[in-house]
Amino acid sequence: MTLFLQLGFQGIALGLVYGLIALGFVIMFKGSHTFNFAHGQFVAIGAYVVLVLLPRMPYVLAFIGAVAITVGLALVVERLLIRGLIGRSVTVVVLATLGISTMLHNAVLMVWGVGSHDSVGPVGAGTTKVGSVVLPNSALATVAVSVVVLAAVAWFFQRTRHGLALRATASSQEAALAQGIDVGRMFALSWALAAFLAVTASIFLASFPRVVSPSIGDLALIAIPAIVIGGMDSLMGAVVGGLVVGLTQVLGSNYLSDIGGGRLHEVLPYVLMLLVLLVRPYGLFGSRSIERV
Amino acid sequence: MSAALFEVEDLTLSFAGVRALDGVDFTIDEGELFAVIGPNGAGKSTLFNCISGIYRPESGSIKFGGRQLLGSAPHRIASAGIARTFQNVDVFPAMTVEECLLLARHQHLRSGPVASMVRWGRSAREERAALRKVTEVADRLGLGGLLQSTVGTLPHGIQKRVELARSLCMEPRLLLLDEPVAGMNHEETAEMAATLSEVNSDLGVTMLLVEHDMSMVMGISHRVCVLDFGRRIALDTPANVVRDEAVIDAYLGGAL
Repeated sequence: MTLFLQLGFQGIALGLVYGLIALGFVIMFKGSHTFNFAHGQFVAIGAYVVLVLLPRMPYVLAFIGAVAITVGLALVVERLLIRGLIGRSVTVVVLATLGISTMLHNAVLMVWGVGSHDSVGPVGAGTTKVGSVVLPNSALATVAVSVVVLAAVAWFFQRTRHGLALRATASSQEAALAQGIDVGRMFALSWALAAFLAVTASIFLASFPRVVSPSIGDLALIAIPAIVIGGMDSLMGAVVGGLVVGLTQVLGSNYLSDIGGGRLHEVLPYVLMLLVLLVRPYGLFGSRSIERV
Repeated sequence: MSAALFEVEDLTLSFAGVRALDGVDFTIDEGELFAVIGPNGAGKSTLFNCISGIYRPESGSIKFGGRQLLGSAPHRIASAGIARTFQNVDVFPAMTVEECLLLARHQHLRSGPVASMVRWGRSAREERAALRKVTEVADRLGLGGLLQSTVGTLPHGIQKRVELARSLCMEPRLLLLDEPVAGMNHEETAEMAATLSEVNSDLGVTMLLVEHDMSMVMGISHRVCVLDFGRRIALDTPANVVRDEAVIDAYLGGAL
């Protein structure tokens, strides 16, 4: 039971990180109808920028610097490369983001090489004992920060005028324009928000395992089954989907380690994703109309 | 010549060689309730889309308060003080009525994305003022009790009313109404006509109404412009328009 609780907490922590990344995908998808395959590279770049800044300044400043740089990059990519494609077929936009992803990935390799570096998590390797359960401090920090960030995002969408304007743009661009909302700025805002979530996720993703390497960008693509499970257009679904994937991976890696050479947990999220696609194509929380896209 | 609030001059636009609008002219005075009618394909919707910045006409001009509107992006036209409703209601179905109306205050608010998350100082004052306006408009349109309802769950007639309320929350100087009673039954139509008339006279909102429903238009409009095949065939008071030979021949047929 103790082991289960420990693993469960780890799974929730990892799941929340996936949830933050998945949420970014969904916000961009809803805001600008773009499925951005380059989002994983924003996660990687965020982690590397923290890595570079960390020796020169306090942690909070390094994080803020990484957010500023990654958000700036996302805004440039959206404005110069994506904006002009909005309204074109989904395939065109997806292929463009795949191209951008490859470019960014190689840029990371050129600048920082293929090697891996130490974790950029905000807390060290210590553990905290709660009853008989031993919890890593990194997982505790992940859960605490993720919950605060997710609550802030929920507040933003439910209670602020920019959040409302983003929801309006996602619902109907024509009606949003008629309210005087600059839809182009809303596309930019959705990308900026997604990039902020990517950097937040990146500092914690680097705690599972505790390294920063170019493969972080690919690791972030595990958010895709999370989104499909939760529903492409549901913010809530992204977080729940992330939790499902995180728990599946952590529990699977332990309890199913005798099967398939211990690699089964890497496949399980995709198996779940395919099952959901077969039974409920719009995901657990998605709106039904999404299946027509 | 006194400066009208809204001036359309020689507006022309063709689609695949067909003239959807052919030299259309009219002016609307401050406070007027002005209607544009015509059969299907007369060019009403095209005219509407030119004014709201969705279509770009080939020639002509559209001036609002003396300023040229052509070439402005739709959201700039809205911010300039022109609100609109849609023929097939375009509300935000997943929002509550209150959220939907608050959104119309967006362009009047100044606080940035981060400041609006922290309700403090100006952003808090702005939000309170916006909420007051929303409540006032909702009460006027009989939506006061529905502020917390989800728009998508309300009946069609009420959604049309929400859409009207949303456009009024923008405090527009000109309100464009695209078939405000489309799909409504007699009772709802009469109610909507009364509301529009009341909003026009009490709040002094200038209105441009595009409509199919003849009796409704004739009952509330100050002046009526009749389009047929993209051309203006009449522009007069409702009483004179129904007697106009050209209108009866070319468009109303023997119906009146």
